[in-house]
Amino acid sequence: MWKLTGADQKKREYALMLLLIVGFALVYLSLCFNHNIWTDEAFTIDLLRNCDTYREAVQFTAGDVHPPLYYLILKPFTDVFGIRLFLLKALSIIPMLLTMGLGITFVYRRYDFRTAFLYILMMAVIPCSMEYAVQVRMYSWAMFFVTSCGFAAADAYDRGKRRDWIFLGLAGVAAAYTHYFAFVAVIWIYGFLFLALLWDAGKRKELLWWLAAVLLSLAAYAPWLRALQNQVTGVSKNYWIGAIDKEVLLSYFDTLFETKLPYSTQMMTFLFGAAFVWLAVEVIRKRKQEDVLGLLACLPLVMTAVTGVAVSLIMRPVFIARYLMPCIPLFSFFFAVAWGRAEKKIYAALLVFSFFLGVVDYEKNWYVEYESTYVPQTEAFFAENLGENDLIVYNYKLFDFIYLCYFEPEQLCYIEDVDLSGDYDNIWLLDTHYNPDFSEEELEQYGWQKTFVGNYGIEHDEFKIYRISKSE
Amino acid sequence: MELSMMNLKSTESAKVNSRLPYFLIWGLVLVWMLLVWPGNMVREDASSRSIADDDRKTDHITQDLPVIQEFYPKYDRLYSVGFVLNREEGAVSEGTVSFKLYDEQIHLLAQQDFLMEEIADGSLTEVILNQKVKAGELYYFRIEVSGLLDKAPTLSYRSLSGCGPEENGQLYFGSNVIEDGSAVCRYEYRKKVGLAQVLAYDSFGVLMGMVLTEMVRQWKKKKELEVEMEKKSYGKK
Repeated sequence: MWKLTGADQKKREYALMLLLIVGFALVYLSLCFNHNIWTDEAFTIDLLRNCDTYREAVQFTAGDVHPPLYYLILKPFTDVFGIRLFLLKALSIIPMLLTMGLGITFVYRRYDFRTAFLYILMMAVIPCSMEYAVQVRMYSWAMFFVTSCGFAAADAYDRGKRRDWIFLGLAGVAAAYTHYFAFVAVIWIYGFLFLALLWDAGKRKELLWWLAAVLLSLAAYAPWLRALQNQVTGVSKNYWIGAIDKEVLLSYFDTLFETKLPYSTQMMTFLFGAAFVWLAVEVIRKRKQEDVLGLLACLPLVMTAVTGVAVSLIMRPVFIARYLMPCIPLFSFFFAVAWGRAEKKIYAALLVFSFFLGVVDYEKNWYVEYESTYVPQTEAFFAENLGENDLIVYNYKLFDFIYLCYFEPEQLCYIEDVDLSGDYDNIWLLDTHYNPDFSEEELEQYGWQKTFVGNYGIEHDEFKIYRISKSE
Repeated sequence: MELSMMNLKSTESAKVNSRLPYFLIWGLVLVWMLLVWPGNMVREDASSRSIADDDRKTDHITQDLPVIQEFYPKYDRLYSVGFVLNREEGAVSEGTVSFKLYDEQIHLLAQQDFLMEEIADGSLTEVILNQKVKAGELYYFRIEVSGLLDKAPTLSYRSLSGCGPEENGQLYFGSNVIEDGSAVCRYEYRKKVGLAQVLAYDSFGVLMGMVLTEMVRQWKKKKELEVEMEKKSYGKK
């Protein structure tokens, strides 16, 4: 009575995987009901606000340091629905769910339920990923494209169907147009595919397809090459990233594995290290194709890090740990291939640990999204006090595009552009220390007086708020 | 009879020996779990500080005119307290700064003395305490300066309104309250881990226990197999 048939078993497994994906969708959505953004997210919003056309968006991005696809993905939505923070965060969740969906379409198809389930779970609970699932940046899209490219490469090697090669090319080009280090990861994927085809005498004729995919991908990327060259030149002269030393290299492990669980870095490094050793031994002993694929899946992350560090040492520092994010799902897949074959009780214990790790990580991300800044208090203050005929003045020029995410442009002004003879009810000064201020004489001349209100903040900028009102 | 007793004992002894690795493994797992909870050996960093730089300064601090800050700690292990003294760009170079921690009944809980040159000028000086406290109860920290020649330092403080360390209560200079004053400071804690974290550690311990158990089991199986193969090949000979 309780024995499931093959078809029923499959249905149950599909249902469990879908349930897991839907569960994480709800988890991610719950992190989106806030106004918490950081500098790079504000840049995304600023670009969308200032660029009316797609051409302008491409040109704007060409002047920055990233390729344009992410902004072009967002633009149709913001054109229709407006620039809403919740929408922008939700648009980062979609590729995370699609990447999890690859666990059903690829991992489950090639391996088994245990591997697929663990892949989906680990992709979501590995400490670094939850933050990027709801960030208004390109990393979750880069994850989807790089993972698709990796899985398409495996299918192209295995099945050699035309659609596999097409999908490989499309995913690779999309990754390259999303983030440069996603591009690096894709180059390594192509490289491993090349070596695999070369190694296997029976597959060498597929090298023609490989070459075609490379050439067509390069042709598709050609329009952006000039912008890439300009960006590389610009970065080689001056860039904000600091030098890479031993401490920075060790900090990469923290970036991947650190969460609100002391020693999580050590614990996760051990689990991933054990996965590598285990899989490597299996590959040496049995050389099963599925094990080789699992082991290869950890290499895009490793080689992207090696490439980034090498370029940083040779040219100038251009690499930081978050540029490894596009490779995280493949890294999780490697983990799942190794631990997915563990003895039943060990697998169950790993699922339990992963669940609690996910809970801890969720608590951390909840705090980061809702409680780590003074944005709610500052917004509440202005909701209560800001009148229609009031002006908000700031003196920290570098943050102007961030303030624009919180205040209406008509009511916001940089201190040096303020006309104190204007007819305002109140001027609210956001005074960041060590920045220009109104002098007492200036204020007196126009009949203003300044009163300290309190200490507040927006994102990393902490300031005193002064109310400047007319002297009675 | 004696022989069968000896056989029984050696079988029992062999069973104990064969189970010993498992006892050890799961004993270690139990120790790990107890250290996490209720041992509280693993603690999480937490921090609370003043926001927004401020340019309010107290009068000059001496031994007779100390600064005293009331505060209510958030967690039960106060790792450090940081404060900002101003030494007039290095002009104040002599003297000893004493940091004292008191409970509500004015019992001295901790004291640390610093030479003036050890005190950061206009930026945070951290006093490592690692002191057990009771969350939510009233404590004081007192800063006084002795051995001054002519100049004395001041303490930076800010307004109580707006956002900042919720811990702070009244600030005193000597015996006088500084109205709307709160020392610019930072409280670092080592707080107990929460339920989800405890369960994460416990499940990791169980996972490691299971992995080690399986490794021992596989190793024993391999050994038994080798012994059997030897017996067979010996039998054939």
